[in-house]
This record gives sequence, C-alpha cells and structure tokens, in this order.
Amino acid sequence: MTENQKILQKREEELDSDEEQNLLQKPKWVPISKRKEWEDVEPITQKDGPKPPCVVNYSDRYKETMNYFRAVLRSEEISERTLKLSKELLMLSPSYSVAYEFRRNCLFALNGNLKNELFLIEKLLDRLPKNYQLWHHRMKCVEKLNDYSNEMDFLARMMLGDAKNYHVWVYRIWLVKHFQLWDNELEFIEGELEKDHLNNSFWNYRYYVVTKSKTIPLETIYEQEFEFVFGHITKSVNNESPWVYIMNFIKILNKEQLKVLHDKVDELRKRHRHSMWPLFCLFTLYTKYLITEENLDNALTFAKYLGERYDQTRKKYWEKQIKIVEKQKQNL
Amino acid sequence: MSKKEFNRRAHIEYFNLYLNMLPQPIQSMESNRMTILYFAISGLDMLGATDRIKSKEVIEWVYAQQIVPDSKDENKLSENCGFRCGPLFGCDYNPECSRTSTYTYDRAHVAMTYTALSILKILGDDLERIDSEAVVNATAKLQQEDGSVAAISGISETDLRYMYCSCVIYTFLDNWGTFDIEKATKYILSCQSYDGGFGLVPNGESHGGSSYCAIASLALMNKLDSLPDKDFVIDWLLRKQTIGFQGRVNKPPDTCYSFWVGASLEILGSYELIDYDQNEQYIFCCQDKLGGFSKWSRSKPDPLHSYFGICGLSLMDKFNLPKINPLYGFRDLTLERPKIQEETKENENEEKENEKKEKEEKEKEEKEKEN
Repeated sequence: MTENQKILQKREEELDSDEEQNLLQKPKWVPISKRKEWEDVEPITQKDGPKPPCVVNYSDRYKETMNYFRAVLRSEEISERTLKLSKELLMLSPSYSVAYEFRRNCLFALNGNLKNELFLIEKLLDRLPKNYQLWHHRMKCVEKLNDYSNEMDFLARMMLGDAKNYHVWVYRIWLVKHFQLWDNELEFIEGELEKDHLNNSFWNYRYYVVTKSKTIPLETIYEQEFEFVFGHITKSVNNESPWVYIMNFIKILNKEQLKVLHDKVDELRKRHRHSMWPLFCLFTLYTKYLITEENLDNALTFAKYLGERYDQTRKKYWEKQIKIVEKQKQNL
Repeated sequence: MSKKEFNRRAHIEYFNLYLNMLPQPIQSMESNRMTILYFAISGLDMLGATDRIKSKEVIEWVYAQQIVPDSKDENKLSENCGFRCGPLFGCDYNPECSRTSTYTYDRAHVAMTYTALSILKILGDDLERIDSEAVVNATAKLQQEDGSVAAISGISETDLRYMYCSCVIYTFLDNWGTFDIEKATKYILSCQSYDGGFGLVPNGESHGGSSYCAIASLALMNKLDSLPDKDFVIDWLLRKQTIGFQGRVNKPPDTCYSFWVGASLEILGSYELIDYDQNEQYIFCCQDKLGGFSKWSRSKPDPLHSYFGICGLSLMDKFNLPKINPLYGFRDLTLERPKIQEETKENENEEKENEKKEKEEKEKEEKEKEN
C-alpha cells in the first residue's frame, strides 16, 4: 500500500467512527457553559436587531460556541483554552475568516504543533475541498513552518478527489514558486497529461512550469513544446487545450516557423475534415500572419464551414469574421 | 429538449424563503449572510416582487453591519471600516451608525461592503448613513504592493474577486481615494492567461468568474483600453459557450457562467454573437420546479446559481426581466422597470381557472365512482 493509500484508509476509519457515534447517539459535546475552565468568561450574544432579514436558525451548539468565541475575540486572549475553542468554532463555521487569523495567532504564539494543524486542515478539506479560507490557512501555516515536505503528497491526495480543483493549482503555483521546487515539475505534469490530456488545468500548469522555471526566451520554449503539443493534438484533434496552448506562440514566430506550423496544421486539416480546430488555427494564420489573396480566400471558405457546420454555436461570430475578411481582401 | 416556461412565481417563493431565513443545515453560511441577502433582495427585485421586501427593516439591518470609526480616535483600527457579513462579532445593534468602540477582530470584508451597498441602492436608499471617507480609506488600505486587493485587513487572501468588489465600492461612493488605479490595472493584466481569459491570480488557469472580475474592474476604472487585444479576450469568452457556458476549457457548462461570461461579453460589446437558443435551453434545464436554478440539470438549486440564472436570462432581454447593469450585476436602476403586473395577473387568473377545472373534474370522477 502506498503512503497515500494508507492515509486515505486511516481517514475512512475515522469517518466510520464518527458515524458510529452518531448512530449510538452518544452526545460527545459538553456545553461550554458547563465546562469549569470557562467559568470566568461571560459569553457575548449576537445582537441581530428587532426585525432581521435572513434569520439564521442556529443549533444550540453553534450558538453557544459562537457566544464564547465572541468573548474571546473581544478580549483577544491567547491561551491553550482559546486555541482549543477556535478549533471547535472552525469545525462548526469553517468560512469564518477572522477565526483563522486568531487561531494562527494562538498557534504561533504558543508554539503549537503546525504539522498537526496541517493534518486537521486536510481533514476539513476532505469535506470542503473548495473552502478558500482553509487553503489560505494552510498556505500561512506552511509558510511559517517553512517545511514543504508533506505538501506534494497532500496535493496528490487532493487531486485524487478532483484533479481540476482550482485551489489545488493556485496552491501548487504558490508552493513551487515560494520554495523553488521546479526540478521535478515538468516530469510531474507530463505524467499527469499522459493520464488525462483533456484536463485544462494540467495544460495551464505546464505553461507555468515551462515559462517560469527558467528564464528562456519564448522562441526556444516554442521549439521545445512543438513536438510535445502536436503529439497530443495528433492523438485527440478536438481537444481545445493543446490548440490554444500552441496558438499562443504564433505571434512570436518567424517566417520559417510559421511555415512549419502551417504545414503541420494543414496536414491535420486534411486528415480530420470535420474538426474545427485545424480550420480555426489556419484561419488565424491566413488572416493575421500569412496574408495573401489566396490565403484570404481559403480563410473565407473555412469561416463558412465553421459557421455552417463545424462550429455552429459561433455562427454569428463567423458571419462577422467573413465580413471582416472580405473587407481585408478588398484593401489588399 | 422541450422549451420550458419561466416559473416566475416559484422563483419568487424561492428567494422569499432565503430573504426570511437561512436554514440550520447551512447555518455556517452566515459568514456570507450579506451576500445571500443580496441574492434574495436583488433576485426579488429582478422578478418584480419587491412587495415581498420590508425595505425599511432590511435597510436598518444592513446599516447596523457598518463598522464606523472609533468614537475616541478615528484613526484607531480605521482599516477595519466597511461592512460585516452580519452581527457575528457581537457588537450592539447600531443602525444609526453612531461612532462607538472599534475592535481588532471586528473587521469589514470587501465583498460584504460591495453587497451591502448594492442592497441599499436597490432598495432606493440614499446612502446617507455611509461614512464614505472611512469606507473608501479602509478599502484603499486593502490594496497590496503588487496592486492586488485583499478581502479583509490583516489577512492577505488576495484575488481578482476582491479587486472587483473594491472597484464597485469606489464607483458607488464616487470616490477612489488613494486606490492606485495604475497598479491595479497592471495586476489585472498580469492575470491574463496565454489563451486570452483571466485567472484568479497571476499564472492561474483562465476562468469565467475571474475573467468577469478582470473585465468589469477595468471597465469601472475606465481602463478597458489597456487590454492589448480585446478580440483575443472576446474569442475566449465566446468559445466558453458549449450549450450553456462553461467556466473553463473542457469543463461542463454551469448556469452562473451564463452571467459571468455573458456579462463580460456585454461589457465588451459582443454579447449579440452568442447562441441565444442554446443558452436559454441550458438555463431552463437547470430550472427547479419548486423555484431557483441549479448549476447543472438535476442538481439542487442554491441562491447563487438561482440569482445568476436569472441574470443570465435577463442579458438575453427576454421573459420580461429588467435589463441588468453588467458592471454591477443587478438591475439597471436608471431604466424603467418593464411592466409585469398584467402578466402576473393574467397567469394568476389562468391558474385559478385551471384549479377550478381540476376541482370540477375530480368531483365528477368521485360521483361516477359512487355510481
């Protein structure tokens, strides 16, 4: 069993025991008002006014935890008890931004175990994988810990849940830049693209790695990327991701490179007559970079095919493009 | 797919539910209470059902969430000023917005300030109780060195959503304070991806929501012309339509992008190039028969997708919905509201007649059974 699988199994076992608790209806929660260590604190209730809109129907547990937490935020007390309470609060109200800052203040001041904190964050992320505050909290903890050793495995686990989770990629982009972890990233993303070449997040991340890991001119990057990208396009000509990826480079290509690109795409057009992408790419080349009368005629034909058959959703767009190119022809 | 009817009454009931309460299973959504209230209020406003809103009471409550400068020292914690999501912090109910004490952890959130101001404007309030200077100064302090904008003072979670919120705030209060427009513009442009759309942060994948925030912010700052190639952006936006609109390449469509991407196209003057029929079909397959819209068909509706589903339909200028202001995301308050009263009455009469017929038929059936 891999490390990741072990961790996932442990998580499932924990979830089962929570379920059991619920089934046996064993109330684990002791009201804070009944806890000795909170005797000296006066809870603060919420003042919602006489006729509030969007009234929240709180559970007793939620209400009481918030009442005590309000007192803590007011007093700004940093202690073991307030650290514990912040955890209870965040389990109930995991989007309460300020509570995370308060918790970090406690953790950092009391030298709390940040590695355990990362484990707690991941537990919460399992249920709430798109919670902005949790991801930000993790980033701040890892920054303070100055230790990224768990993070790649953590991200791998999150990707098992949803490889397109936007937060996963924002976090990785930050992590790799902050700790300069570029070395394995190209290999990593190539592997992911082998598994799923339709995942646009993968393509975007590849672009990031390839352009930001070293300072290489875009022209050199293009030469390196050409084979890789067309390898994928050839396997799946209707996949938008590699097409927009490679088309981004067109504006920096010289005449020689434009010709090579043109020939490659035209070959694909002949092999896949019903695909919109070779036509769209050639349309761009003919109307912006390889402008001749013959090419503009071809562009008009392609625009017609696209609007009427291969890209019908954008019919009106192609009708507009036809008018623009006709004018372009006139002005040649 | 058959064309469905726009179920105005059901949507009114849906938003009315949230106007009145946030059910217990989503009690933790109270961190977003102001934005949920905004969806309910603006949703009802779009549906012409403002008679359901007790405007005066809502306005009072909204004002009570304003954090005003400290009564003893207006510079103390001045970065906290603006609006809270709700009375979470536990301060005294203060709709008069009189100066009181400020506290370290009692902080405004830029998205709550934006939605609070929007609610007040929709309900016709004159914004007189807003401490404009304090709000603008505090919001300006959220801008970071790189030009980006944070959500709350002290916590530097920054992304394009907060850029947008802050630009609307300055627009509503007609005061840009010390906000650095040049830096903000530079930051927004740095979020543009290689394919023309905008990511949530620099190097982020191009996304419909962040693209809207980028484009609307530039428009509000009067900086749309700083886009090096508008057509490039328009192309990206138009390609997001599959049937409805997707938020990212190779992802399924989702109701809310009919607004985010649609409004972006509207701002860039190219909305009329979309396929209206497909867009309408998609939004309708997400219409819930009990009211509201979901992100995908056959999933549960929620306030956000319900609201943006309606905004998405409004952009198409159909179903007797008022025209939306694409920069603000709510009804264009400068235009006259379309008349829907007769339509409602007509529908009501029709429904009453149908009910009568059904009743008569049932009675007939029962009589026949007895016989």
